[in-house]
Parts: sequence; structure tokens; C-alpha cells
Amino acid sequence: MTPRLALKGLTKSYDGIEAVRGLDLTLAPGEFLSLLGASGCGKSTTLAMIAGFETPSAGTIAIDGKPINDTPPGRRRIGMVFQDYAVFSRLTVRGNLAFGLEAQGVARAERGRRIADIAAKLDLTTLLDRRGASLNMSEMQRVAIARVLVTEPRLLLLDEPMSNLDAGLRASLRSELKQIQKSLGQTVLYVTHDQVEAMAMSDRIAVMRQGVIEQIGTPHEIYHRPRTRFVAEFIGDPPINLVPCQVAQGRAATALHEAIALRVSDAPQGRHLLGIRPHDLKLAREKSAGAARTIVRFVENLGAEHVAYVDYGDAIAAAIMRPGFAAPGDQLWASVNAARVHLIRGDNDQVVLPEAA
Amino acid sequence: MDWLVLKDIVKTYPGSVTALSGIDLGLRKSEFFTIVGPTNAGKSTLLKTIAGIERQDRGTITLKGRDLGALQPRDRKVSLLFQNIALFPDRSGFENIAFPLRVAGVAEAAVRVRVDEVATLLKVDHLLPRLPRTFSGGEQQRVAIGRAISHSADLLMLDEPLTNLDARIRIALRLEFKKLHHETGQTILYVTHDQIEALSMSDRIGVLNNGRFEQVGTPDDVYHRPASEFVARFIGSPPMNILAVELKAKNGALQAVGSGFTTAVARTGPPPAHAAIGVRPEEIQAASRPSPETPFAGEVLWIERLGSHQILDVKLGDQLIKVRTATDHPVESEGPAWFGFTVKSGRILDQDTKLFITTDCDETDLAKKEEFTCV
Repeated sequence: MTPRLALKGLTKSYDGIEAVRGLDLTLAPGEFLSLLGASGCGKSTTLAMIAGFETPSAGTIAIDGKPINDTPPGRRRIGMVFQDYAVFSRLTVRGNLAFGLEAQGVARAERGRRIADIAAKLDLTTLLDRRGASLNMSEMQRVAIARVLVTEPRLLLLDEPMSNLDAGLRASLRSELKQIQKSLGQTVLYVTHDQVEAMAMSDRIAVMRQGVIEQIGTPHEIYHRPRTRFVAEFIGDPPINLVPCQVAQGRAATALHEAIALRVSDAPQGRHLLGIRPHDLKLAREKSAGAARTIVRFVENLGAEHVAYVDYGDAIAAAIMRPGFAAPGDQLWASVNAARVHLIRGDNDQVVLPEAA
Repeated sequence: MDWLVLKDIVKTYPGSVTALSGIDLGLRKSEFFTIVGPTNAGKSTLLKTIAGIERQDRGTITLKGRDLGALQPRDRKVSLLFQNIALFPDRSGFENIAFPLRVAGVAEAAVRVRVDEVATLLKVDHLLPRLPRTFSGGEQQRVAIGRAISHSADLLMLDEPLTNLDARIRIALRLEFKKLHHETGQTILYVTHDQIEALSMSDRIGVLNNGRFEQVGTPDDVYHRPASEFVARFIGSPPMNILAVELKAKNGALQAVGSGFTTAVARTGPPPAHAAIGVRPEEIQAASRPSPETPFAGEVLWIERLGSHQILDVKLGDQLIKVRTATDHPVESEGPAWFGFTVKSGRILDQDTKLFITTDCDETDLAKKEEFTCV
């Protein structure tokens, strides 16, 4: 199948500094892919090149197999939704939806037909005569997306649309956005620095760092089988604990736990790092096999769950616990879910991948 | 005696837009207090009023026993750090942190000692000789915090200091703020729209909406015992499920009957005419088969797999609810599933007032409503 979007060797340099370095990426039709990374990693530059706002220094961009490097932005059939949705507050919903079509010179009758069609699909029919200013955030998101989809883009680009919104709202908007995308089979490239958004909505995530893709995979792969220390550290809140360890005969010894059985064949001997997610460091009042004594230093309240920061050798490690389970100063037993740890090579920061379960 | 006392603060802007409508608040010494609320709730106006940048129409502000009303901003001994980091671009990290000390006329030797202390605390020693343009976003923010705390103030106020930063840096700095507070004992008034920042760092939280506090309490109070529907929906991600119910007495116990479920209610006050219940997503059990704990049939429409846990969008009766489950939970795909929950104490909402019923039931209530019984 011809990919909807194909990037080959895509590069952008400013004053000799490469913001995007030889990016290769394909999106299948109907796929939702997120570019995830910190500010300055090149994700927004990549989006801008695809949209046609920036000219690549090298490489090609193809839509449905046809290169579009020389196609002006307005004729690429790519739709873009910006930060905060930017719905025209003085125009009606109908006016917002007509805007792009008028710009494209679509005939009046055709405009009416397409607006009615997209409004029905996104549950906006009863809102068509309301002004932008009177909409709530969920309606605003639907208008912002409908306004772009009505132009029938081959690809929809979203640039951190939710980054300035309240948490509760983000949670409901992201599931609504996903429902819309799924039901229409729309191909989406989504840019974000928020790993929760990327995990929640994507078919695949491309983690970017310094202009290159560090890893690309399903949310499950990115979380459970990170390939590098960077990816392991980037995903997860609170972040993964990285604990120095000594590996011998397939077991890792840390400052707290003497023998954590590793699921990797041919584990390299020597000093490495063990990545233990806070959800995989279990705290208990009673001793169990393999558990080690530790003390709680402080507690962070995250609402549905709490984080205990406990002594781990000379360092502090985060462990998830039930709200109210322990308080600072409490002595507890900590054990590691060995099936879920990640062994990270000390010499090159690569994860030694376990056999697939 | 409280360290900072706000009494009946009112502030109205031209065009009679009420920014603050009667704020009362007491902060204890060394407390980390967070004001959380949506845009335009009045959060920043309140900070500016305390700092003296804005003047209240009515009410008094007392800090450490001094009435701030008569004092100019620079004499109030408060420090305010804004959302947009504005370091002096042409001065080194050292001079940025030293700035408030220089303004106060602190002797050179004392400036050096203090800047070194602050830099060590915030782990920015290596940035002291460098210019701000060479700092990363997180480094800039740390230096800005250093500047805000270098000259001892009676009150440190922070206005959305993490808002413009990447999620990754926010997570790291939120913990550093907590440590900083722990180590310095500084009294902190922190403003944010991010409920996780409020829950994770604060001793107490004030949830501000339309210029007044909906609730003031510990993180556990506002999360588990919200005072109003607004607080229940604003704190927690995803927010608390609010489900319309009819309250009925059966066999001496109270039941909440809603669309697609009938469940037990813990002790509560007199039942309101129009009631709803509040249930957090993690308080709902899910199972792939019916059981006494999971008697309600629902349909999973979508699962957000977040790695550490999952959020289920579920159709239950004629409403949509959010359910939180662990990774590797037996309910792993879209389709029919079974759910269960009970109504915890303090989770009956009066739909007319939008307030949760907080009083436990007493004999007089029972006498008035004889069909209603305590459980």
C-alpha cells in the first residue's frame, strides 16, 4: 500500500545547524502518529516542512506517492490545526466552516453540501448559527477540526492543540479527538511534548531528539520496550528510576536488591544501569522474598495515586503507592517487579532488549 | 496568628468586571499554599494585590503582623516570580541571582556568599559565569527562581512558573520546588491552573473560581472530599464522574438509583430534591464477567493505554463514564464489560446548589424525612 505520507532523508538546517537530520518516516492511510519530544527537538520544524511553511534543505516529502516539495502550501491538500484551536470568535460556526472553502474558491452550492456533511459527522449541526465566542472547549475543538476537514485534506496536522488547556478538559478532548479520527479514518500527524497525549491517542509514536527519531513504535512498545536510555527516561510520570547495577550470571545486583533476575539472554557482565518504573517498585509493610528494607523520605500526591520517594542506596527512588499507604519516616519493604525492568548498557546507553513475551 | 492574612479583598476592574469578590485567607508561616483555578479566576490579580502592583477596592492584607496597605511594593518584603522568565540577557547567571541583593545594597562579600548558597541549592553553580542565552528552558527557570529567593522575603509568590515549560521539565521542577520549600522553610504562595502541580506540592490548596474560593483544604480534602461540582471536575484527571441519581430508602438503607446502576450510599445528610453522585474513575471496579462487586453492565467504547495505567470510556445506561484500570487488567478490549461502585461519604451532590452535602445525617433530619434512614 502506498503510504499516505512518506518522508525521506528530510533535513533542515539554519545557519549550518541541523534542526532536522535525515528524517525517514511513513504514515499509512488512517494512521494516527505522534511526533513526541522536548522543545527544540525538531518536531515543529518537521511539521512546518510538511505543511509547506518551511523549505527542506534536503530530502523529499511525498503524499500518496507523489513528491510535494515544490507544491505551494495551499495546494498540498494538507490541513493544519494550531495551538488553542484559534476558532474565529466573531464568525458563526457556519462562517468558520466556510472560511477555508471560500479561500479555495469552492462554489456556493458545493460549500453548503460539504458544510452540512461535516457538521453532521462532528455533531455540529445544531450549532451552525452560534458564534465562535459562545462555544465551549469541546465544541471549539470540533469546529477547529471540522473547519480543516471540510477542505478534505489527505493529511491532518495538529501542532500541540491542547497544551494550554486545563487537565480535566485535555482528558476529555483527547478521547473525543481520537473518536473523530477513528470514525472518519482520517490520517493524523500530531506534534506534542506531552507523553500522556501521545500514549493516549497514537497508533505509533516517534520519539524525537536533536533532529532525529530516537525510536518509533506503538505506545506499548515505547513504554514497555524502550530501546535507549533517552526513551526510557522520556516516557513515564513520575520518570523511570535509573539505578546503578552490577550484572553477573543473568542477575543484577543493586544497592538495595541483591539478585534481580534479568529476562535477557546473554546479559553483558559488568556495571550498567537498571531502569525500574515507579509502578514496578512495590512497597509493602510485610517482608516478602527479594524485598529490601527502605525508608520513605517524602510523598507526592498525584490524586488517584501517591508517589513515595524512598532511599535506594545513596540515591532516592520513586515508588507508586495507594493514597495514604505510607508517610515520611515510615520503614517499608521494597521489591522489584523483575519482569518489567530495563537493563541499560553502561557504555552506550542502549537498552538490552528482553525476549518478547 | 497567621503569617499572611487576607480579609475581605474585593477588586473590580473598569466595566464592573469583578476580579475578586471578598477573599478571606490565612497562611501559616512556612506553609506551601497553592491557588488553583481556570483562566480569569482572579489568581494573578490576587498575587498582584498582595505584591502591591494592583490596589484592592476593599479589604486588608497583613503580613507578619504588618498592614501592607500603607507600604509601597518594594517595602512589602514579598518576592514575586512571573510565568514568563525575564532574566537580564546581558548579565551573567551570577548577576541575575545577585540583582535583588544589589538593589537592597547588600555588601559585596555577603552577596557572594548568598549567591553561592542559592546556586548550590538550585544546582546552577555551573551557570553562574554564563549568559542566559546559553541556558536551557529548565536552567533559565532555575536561575529565575534563584533570583526570586536570593534576598530573603517574608513571602515568596510564584505565578504559573512552570506553565511555559515542557512536560518533562515540569515534572522535574515540581519535585525541586517541593524540596526547595522543605529545605528553606520559606512561606510560599503558588499560583497555577495545573491541578497536578497543586496536589503534588502543596500543604493546602485554595480552588479559586470567579473571584472566590470554592474550597480551601489539604490536597486530600479537595481530591477526596470536594465541596462543589466545580472542584470535583477541576481537580483530578480525568475528572470525577458526576451521575444523576434518585435516592431511595430500601430495607433501612439508602440507595442511589441512576441510569444503568443501583448502588449503596454511605452516611449522608438530608437528601436533596435533585441529586447526583460523585465517583472518581479509580473508584470504579471493572471486570469481564458480572460479580457481586461488578453488577452493572456497560460497554467499553475506547481504552486509553497510558503505559502505567489505562482510562476506559464506558457507556453505562445513557451516560458516558471514565474508569481507571491498571495495565494488564482483564478488561483489555472494547465491548461489553461489568462495573461496580458505591457512593462514598460526602459524595452526594445537590444539583440545584452544585454543592456536595457535607453534614452527616442527624436525628432532626431523620424526623423531617421519615423515609430516609442512616446507613
